[in-house]
Amino acid sequence: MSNRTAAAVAAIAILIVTLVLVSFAPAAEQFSSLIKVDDLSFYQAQIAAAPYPLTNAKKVRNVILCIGDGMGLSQITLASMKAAGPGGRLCMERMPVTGLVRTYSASSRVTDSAAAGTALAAGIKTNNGMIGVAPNEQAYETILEAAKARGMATGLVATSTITHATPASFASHVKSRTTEAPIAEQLIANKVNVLFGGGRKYFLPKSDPNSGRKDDRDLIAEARQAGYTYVTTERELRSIRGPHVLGLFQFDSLTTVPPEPTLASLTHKAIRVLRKGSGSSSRTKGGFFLMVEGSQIDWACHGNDPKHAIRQTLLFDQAVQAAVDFAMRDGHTLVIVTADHETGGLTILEGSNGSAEPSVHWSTKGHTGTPVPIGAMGPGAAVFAGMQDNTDIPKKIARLLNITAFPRPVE
Amino acid sequence: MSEKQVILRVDATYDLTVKVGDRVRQGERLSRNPEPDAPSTSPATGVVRSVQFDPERHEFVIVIAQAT
Repeated sequence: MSNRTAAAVAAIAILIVTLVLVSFAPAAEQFSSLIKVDDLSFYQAQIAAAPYPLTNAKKVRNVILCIGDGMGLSQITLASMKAAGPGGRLCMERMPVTGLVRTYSASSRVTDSAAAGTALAAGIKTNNGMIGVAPNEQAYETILEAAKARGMATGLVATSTITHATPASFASHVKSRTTEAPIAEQLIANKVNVLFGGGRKYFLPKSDPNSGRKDDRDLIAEARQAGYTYVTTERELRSIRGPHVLGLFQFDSLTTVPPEPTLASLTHKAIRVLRKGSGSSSRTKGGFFLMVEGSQIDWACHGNDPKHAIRQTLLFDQAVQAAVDFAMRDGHTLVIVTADHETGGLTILEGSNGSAEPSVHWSTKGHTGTPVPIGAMGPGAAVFAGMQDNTDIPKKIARLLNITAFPRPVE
Repeated sequence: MSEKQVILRVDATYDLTVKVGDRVRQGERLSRNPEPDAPSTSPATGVVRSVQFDPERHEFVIVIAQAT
């Protein structure tokens, strides 16, 4: 091969690798031109810093479980310092009951979102990568499924694909988190009332150029046949009612920038649908279980990117605020805020060279085994105080909802 | 001198043991993944050119340049 030919081959190889890498670029980077990470004007810090009041109400009618993916104490504190200042508080910092959660999985000291999601949903330890099943691949009922069996309406909201590890853990059972197409099938088959997030590609048949499936199943058509209303934009979202709504706002994960609906508006809408829906009194009477995930805190921390971590934490806090606002009005809603694990090993240091801004230090680009915070308000909140295992959380929710025999294998 | 680049995808749960610019040897562990069957060893000897996080698959994409 001549030198010219070799140079041409090398140039083509480098071009191919570059194209491949561009296609791998993380969502945060793909949309970085759209995101003004320094502009936090979307977030209105609260004046009040006192904890929300404790309640004497005993009956838990609704449960809203808010999960900040990868959100440790430092992620919360950094966002709070930036947005609320030293004397201020984020909404999630005002929970009247607080505790800590251990997160190890069956296969590692350091969990991933699949094993942690399974622990938070099914109350069992499993191996990293597994969704809703024990290490021996035995499926276990999730708290969402148990709530549904008890007559409650159910919902999942996330800023990732709705088939990503955390939301998937609440309504599907697969041995690998990477199998998002079968997860999509199970979410629809499970008749979860509200499914809001990204991941449209896993619901489209392979004949569609944007499909992420390897078969001809059109899950959007199947969902419609099963009674779902299907929406893809904020405008469509405004007018929908229940009892079943499938909202897929991107082919992949959400961008978290306009014109997409925010996590807070999705949470607000999910609560409205679950509470009222089509006016089914039986659903209203039965209450609801809703899981809301701020998925992209984790992604910002994998990139050791403090500005994106702050922005994603504040977007998540707005969703927590939507849940709290409803709970304060309702009086029978338990709100729990926690994380599946910490990402990045983030610590906060004094600002360098006299800067008023804190410095940050990341100890890893992966996850850590550090315990994560938990906060709760509303009836039954007191049981979440103190140190606990992540598998304890759905067990406690089950007890508060009078769900017996939990955890239990699916027969 | 031309450059051949190889790509390794590893689970992003675990810390990486290399960073951009590091020299790696074929078979060297690049991640702290404790699972013996998981891909975490370098497929080639060379230099780490880039490390990117792929959020959809929750993996690090490591590009290693081999001098040829």
